[in-house]
Amino acid sequence: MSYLEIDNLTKQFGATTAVDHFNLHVEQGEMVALLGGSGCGKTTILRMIAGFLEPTEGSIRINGRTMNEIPPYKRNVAIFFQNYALFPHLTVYNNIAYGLKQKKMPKAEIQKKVADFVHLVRLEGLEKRYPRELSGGQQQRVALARALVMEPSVLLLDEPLSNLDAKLRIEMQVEIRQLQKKLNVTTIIVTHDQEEAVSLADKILVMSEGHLLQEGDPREVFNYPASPFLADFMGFTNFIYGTLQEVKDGKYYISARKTGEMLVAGGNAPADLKTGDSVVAAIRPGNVAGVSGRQDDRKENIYTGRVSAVTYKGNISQVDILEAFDTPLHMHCADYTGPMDGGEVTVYLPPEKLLIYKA
Amino acid sequence: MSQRKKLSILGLSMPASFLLVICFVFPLGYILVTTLAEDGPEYYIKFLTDPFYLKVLWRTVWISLVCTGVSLLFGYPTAYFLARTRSRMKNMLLIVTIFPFLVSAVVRAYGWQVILGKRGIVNQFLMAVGLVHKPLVILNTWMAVVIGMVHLLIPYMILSIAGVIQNIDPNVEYASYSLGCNKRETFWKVIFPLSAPGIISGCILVFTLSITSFVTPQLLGGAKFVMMSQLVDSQINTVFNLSFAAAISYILLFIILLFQFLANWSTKGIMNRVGGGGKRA
Repeated sequence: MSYLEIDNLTKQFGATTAVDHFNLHVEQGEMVALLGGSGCGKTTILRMIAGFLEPTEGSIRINGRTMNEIPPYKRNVAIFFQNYALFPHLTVYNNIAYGLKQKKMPKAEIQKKVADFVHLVRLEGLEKRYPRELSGGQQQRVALARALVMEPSVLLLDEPLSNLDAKLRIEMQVEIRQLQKKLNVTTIIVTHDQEEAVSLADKILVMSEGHLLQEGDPREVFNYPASPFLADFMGFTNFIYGTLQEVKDGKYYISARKTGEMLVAGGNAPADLKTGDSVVAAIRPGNVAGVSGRQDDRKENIYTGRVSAVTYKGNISQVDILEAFDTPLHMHCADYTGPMDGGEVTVYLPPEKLLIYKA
Repeated sequence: MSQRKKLSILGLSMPASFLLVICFVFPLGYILVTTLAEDGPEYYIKFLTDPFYLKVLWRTVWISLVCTGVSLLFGYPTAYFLARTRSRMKNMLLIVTIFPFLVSAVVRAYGWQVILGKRGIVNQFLMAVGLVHKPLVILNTWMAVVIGMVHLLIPYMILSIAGVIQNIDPNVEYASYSLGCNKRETFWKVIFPLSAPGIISGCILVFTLSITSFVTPQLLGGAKFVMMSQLVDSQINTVFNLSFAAAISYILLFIILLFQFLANWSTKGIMNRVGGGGKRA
């Protein structure tokens, strides 16, 4: 028996099904990420676990106890909102103490616990401030402390980092992960950001339109998405279509559509692939390598195309390449010094980085 | 705030300020100066030493306070509902709320005369069900004035409060639930304090409009139930003592300002925290 068990959870709003027979088992102290675009049902699941929404069908059990009929204020499930939802009329201290006071905990004990958590989230000296007098990062830590001080059976994080700037995000990612491990609280995080999910969670569930598409540990989901749709979502934005010609020594030989170029792929492939099948190979832009022609002795997977655009993105440049295949190819380089718009460029696609799917 | 921003705000408020100064502040000051120059503080002393006038003032104040309280009591639940409903009828309901504004206060007061009179439907109903044996006297008492006034002014209360509740983040309520508070506790600990700005502005509006009302007490309160505005009216149109009328008006104005000041002062703390605008770190 798992600590948190969600079985056949379904939610319908009128005729639309927001969540369709969703299953999830989470162990005590585990952190699970629900990953998906907007409208995929992840937030609806979160709200059902918190008790704000009633499931149309299915059950939610925490520590063996069925939660369906239990109102949110008796569940001891803490939720952290994207916009923090702090009480604007209460000080930092009273925000954090809110739930403890409701529990009728003795005052001395409340003071001690609040002090502990203020220390834990590094808010010392700000106890008497009001939320509007705090920065975004500080507000976020208050919200985190307010949720964690309740020693919740389950902690729900709704897009916890999306309101922060890049530097603070990384900081908070580390902080949330450390706190979660330290307090060993069972946590479900909802996010649309794959990097956030990958860096925080022990297990990732990718969702779309109320359905679970893939479930697995972060590396597996990140490196071996189960379908072209998931590959696209995980950042494999290059898709090369073709026909499987031959399978030899675990290598797949594909003739590319229209151009007829031979493509060798060694990444994950469906087991039931046959010669003659239409396939699509996917590769991350970061794995496409620029080649300065002559000195290279590799024979396979070298292609030449025309640069259509170079976009500088700060830490990387994206190079869009046409005419190598019938679909454009994107390449990410740390510092790109090759030809600019219209120039010819040669690239190498490492076979082991090419994933194959049935088209 | 930068100097430039201050100036632009000043500039934007110019047309309204200009109008107020020309049409309001200037005539008000002019009357104060001329009446004081002519008669000195005589009429102010007369008003403040005569038990009859003091009684009218007291009556006007408590009637206005009752109207404000009743409007708040009945208006708040309606406002909460209007602000939080997801119904497609929401806009319809808002229109229904302000519908009474389309009918003039005079017409409405006459309507209440018919309803609350000795043979009005209220008394007919009470007698038909056997709750009373002879008609209740409602008309020409404080009750009729409160009923008429609340009916007239409650939309101001509802709209002020609904506007504020609408802007309270629903997640704040959910956060409270998840921290162990049920709906009732959440209301008193979160929603009510956060709606304070709406309550205060609604109360100030309703109180000010009640204390200065003329038509409703005139038509529903009768000759025995005189309020301040009627006193001013009788000094102008019956007694022709303009100086005394001016003195009464100034005392009324002072009372209004006093209550507004008290309301703002006593709620300064909560307004600073939850009131709109202001600075953010």
